[in-house]
Amino acid sequence: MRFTIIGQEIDKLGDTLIIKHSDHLAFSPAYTSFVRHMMQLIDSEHHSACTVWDDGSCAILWAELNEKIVGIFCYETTYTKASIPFLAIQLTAVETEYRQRGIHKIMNKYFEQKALELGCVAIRATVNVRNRVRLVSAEKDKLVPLIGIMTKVIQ
Amino acid sequence: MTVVYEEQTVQGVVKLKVSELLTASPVYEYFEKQKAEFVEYLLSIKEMFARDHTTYQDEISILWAEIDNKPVGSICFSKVDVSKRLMSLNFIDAETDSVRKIMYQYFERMSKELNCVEISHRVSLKDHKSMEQLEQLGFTMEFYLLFKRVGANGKT
Repeated sequence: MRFTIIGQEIDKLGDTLIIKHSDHLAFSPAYTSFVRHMMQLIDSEHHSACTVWDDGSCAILWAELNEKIVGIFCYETTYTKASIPFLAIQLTAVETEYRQRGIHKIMNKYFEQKALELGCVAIRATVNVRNRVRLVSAEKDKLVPLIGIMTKVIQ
Repeated sequence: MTVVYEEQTVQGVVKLKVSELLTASPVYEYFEKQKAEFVEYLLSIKEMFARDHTTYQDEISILWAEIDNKPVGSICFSKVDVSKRLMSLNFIDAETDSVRKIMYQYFERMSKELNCVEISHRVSLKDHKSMEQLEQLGFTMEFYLLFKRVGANGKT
């Protein structure tokens, strides 16, 4: 099965969103949306220019409005067996023209529910220090920065 | 174990050695002691993921420094993402700044030879000491890992 419908929600404008989920990013209907948003993230220098995600260990949920994907929430399930089990957000995005309608918040609710279903005690997001928009939304999601990734470009 | 580099310092001759496998290296016990001290330090600053930070698996390699055949510092690293041109620095600790610098400079040269473009290292945001040391080696903060507790108490 390529996806399941996990919910239906009304956004701030009163439109009905269908929330869908796939255990696998690969071959999911939201795959190209994921890749497109990842390209934008790399172009804006908020992500390393390399493939850091693993299709096999990523799941994705997304919001559809009139059969159009308007938001995605991709997460990695690698750490569900760790000593502190958690789900790691790989990428979250809402299409520009559908922002300010509470779609991210709705998707985050379903994501946290998935974390609980998988026995996780935490969720994790990786955010570039210059990505102010995402840092603000992460703060609204009550995510707290605990660890930093320091890098050095060597050539 | 072959000496890959040596340099005269005021403390003596620093000799660097490398083992592809941390667990099979002759300095594994020394590293375990360093790690234990590091975990204790992380716990003292209430680092939530202190233990997970220091879970080292089979793919971890080690570079270490010796003076008079005694280990005086080590760097743990992973080549698991070298195909993506990324080198992961997992742990660095040394008895002196000069040993840390000598070890790191060799590690960076080695990473360049492996065609890596970037070296990354995770650090607790409460661990100002490590952040300062990494800055001195030319590292800058690029990403934050943000966490939220989910479930019963909902507190981070």
